[in-house]
Amino acid sequence: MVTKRRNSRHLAMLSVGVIATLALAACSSGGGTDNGGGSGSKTFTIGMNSGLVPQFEGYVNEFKKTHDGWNIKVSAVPDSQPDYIQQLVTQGLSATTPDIVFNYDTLNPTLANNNLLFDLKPWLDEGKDGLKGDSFLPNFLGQYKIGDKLTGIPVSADSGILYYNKAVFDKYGVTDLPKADWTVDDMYKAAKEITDKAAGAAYGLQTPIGDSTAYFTWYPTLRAYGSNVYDKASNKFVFADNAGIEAWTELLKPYTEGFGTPYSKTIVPADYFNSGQTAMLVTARPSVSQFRTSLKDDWNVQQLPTANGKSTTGGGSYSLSISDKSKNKDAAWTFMSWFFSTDGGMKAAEPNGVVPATKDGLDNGTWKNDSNPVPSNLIPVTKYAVQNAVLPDPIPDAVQPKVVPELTKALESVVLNGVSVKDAYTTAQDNLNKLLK
Amino acid sequence: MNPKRPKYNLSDTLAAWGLIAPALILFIIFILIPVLAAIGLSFFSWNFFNTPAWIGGDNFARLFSDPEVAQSIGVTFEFVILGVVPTMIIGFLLAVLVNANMPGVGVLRVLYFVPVVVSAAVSAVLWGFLFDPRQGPGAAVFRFFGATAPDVLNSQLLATPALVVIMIWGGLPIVVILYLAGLQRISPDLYDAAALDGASRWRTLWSITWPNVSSTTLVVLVLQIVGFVSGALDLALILTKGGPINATRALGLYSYQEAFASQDVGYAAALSVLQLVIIVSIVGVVQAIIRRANR
Repeated sequence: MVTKRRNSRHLAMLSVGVIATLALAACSSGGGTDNGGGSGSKTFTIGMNSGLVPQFEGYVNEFKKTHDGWNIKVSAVPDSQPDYIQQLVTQGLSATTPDIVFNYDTLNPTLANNNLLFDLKPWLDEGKDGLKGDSFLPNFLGQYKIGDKLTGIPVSADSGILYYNKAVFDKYGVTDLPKADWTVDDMYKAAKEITDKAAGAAYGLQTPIGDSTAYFTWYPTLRAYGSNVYDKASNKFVFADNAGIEAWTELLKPYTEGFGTPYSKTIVPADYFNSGQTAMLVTARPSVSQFRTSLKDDWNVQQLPTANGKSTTGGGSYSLSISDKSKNKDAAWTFMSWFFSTDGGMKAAEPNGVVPATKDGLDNGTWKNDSNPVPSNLIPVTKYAVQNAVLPDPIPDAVQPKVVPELTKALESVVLNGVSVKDAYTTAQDNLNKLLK
Repeated sequence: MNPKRPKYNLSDTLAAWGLIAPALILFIIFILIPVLAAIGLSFFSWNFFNTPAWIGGDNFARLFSDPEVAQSIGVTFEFVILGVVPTMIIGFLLAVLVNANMPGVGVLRVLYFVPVVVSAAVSAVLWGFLFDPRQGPGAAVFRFFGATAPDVLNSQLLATPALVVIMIWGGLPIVVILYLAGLQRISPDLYDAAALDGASRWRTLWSITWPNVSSTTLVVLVLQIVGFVSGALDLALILTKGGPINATRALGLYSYQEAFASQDVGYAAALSVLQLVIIVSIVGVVQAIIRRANR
């Protein structure tokens, strides 16, 4: 009798334990990405850069107009890479990684090499749901190739263009406005003239290289002079070879010769241009929408000048990737197929300055019908920039995070301490080469 | 003869454990476990994503061959040397003022606490504007005299002192509160006696007030050392990113950058352990010196 009662108690306790375990399992899966979806699921999550969340919520609403019964959640991810990586780690540990992951060109090797991203190549090769790899611009799509895998699809073909404030040119009597056939020397000459005449009240040029953080501001010039950051064949950093030193010297002239805005890590680059204190600014194409609302002067855009007869237009992109651990890959792909179609998501994204990174989108996208009169050069300049953007080659994942800090240190050594360009960049190159295995 | 150990009954013991349990649990979760985890991680190679690999003492060996460690330690000491003593002196004098019943002291009692209610990020932006050589109020003063304002935050020489000024401003409220508590424990009889002896205000301050807050000074000193060793991270991250040329990159920021920018978690943990050793060593030395002085 006693044994029977004890057994019953054990059975009851076991049952409670099993129920509790099942309940906990249900709770944990409820907060994660696994909604029992798999093929046929209409539920997935998107983790998006905080500044882009409102846009993506809009795209999701557009998607739902033609797709009934879908449950899609867009959540914000941190802006800075260190914070974003922290979040991805904690999400990975708690199995709450979004199904569609916000990704960008320089982060992709880190995420891909650590097996966080699903290989999209097979689906793009077979044209699953109408989305084909060969419909994308190869230079932009190529940024997400890691070996034989493809781990992201670029959302926007972002490239650098030259913004100029005609009112500042007029104010200081400089009549030579930026032209499509300008060389870097022409740009520097006009900038110098404005800076000299403004006598401290304005600058001719927002120094494009900044603190070296943005690859698109210096990488194409490095290539135009015949150098590169890293040489895959020799597994060495090579940016301080003779051609590289020539390129850095040219890039740093606005600082070293004093006709560009002075070096600062604390000033937001666009502030000078927004406040009419610089005549020219090199920045990405999507800034157009910002200046349309903030800049009241007469302004326009022009393609970036050439150096050595070659393009100095740089570019980059952010992309949509699918988490390797996602259990809603098919649902995520359905959304992405809609999003990257010219008449689907790309049409909805056009008001946000998105230029599709697809051949069809570039030729026939609604971005070309932009009726806003400011800036009048935008359409041809954008097309040139997208087609001529020189995009960086991947750098070994283990060393990639060290590249910008070393380049910034070299730049600061030249600009703040007067170290020669050759010495500063050779030191940076040597330091990086020591880190290569 | 050893004093007899007091006996506690079970209910007293349980009550005591019950009372210290909340603080103890929080201490274990938020202090002890992270410290032990950091010490453990420093023996591994880990990039957040892969499986941590045991590498023994390699990360600690690397500390000795990495020239940036020595530089970061130098910057850390620069923060401590420039910041600790001024914070204590200004905090003590402010506390004396706040404690006095002089006209207008009510305003001071409100103002000294302002830095506490302003977040580090907001204060960094605010101070960034104040130091701006082109648009800040300081720049306007320089322009008025026909001079160009120095670009403080982009100067290798001035960036660290500038951050120290901000840290002193941010650290004052807690120092003032601690000194206020110390000042209010001083018996008024001592001041009456000093007044009868004809002591001047400075003499009273130096001979009565200052010695009577010495125990508070020790607490403030330890807190400020810890604060200046570890507290430069957020301000430097926002205002200078550790630059120019690593001039404001103390050990804490170097460790942060190694962990979250370079994803070298094991090495970052080793740097944190080094920072812990430095803090414990400095505090230990300071306590030993003060104990000897008090004998």
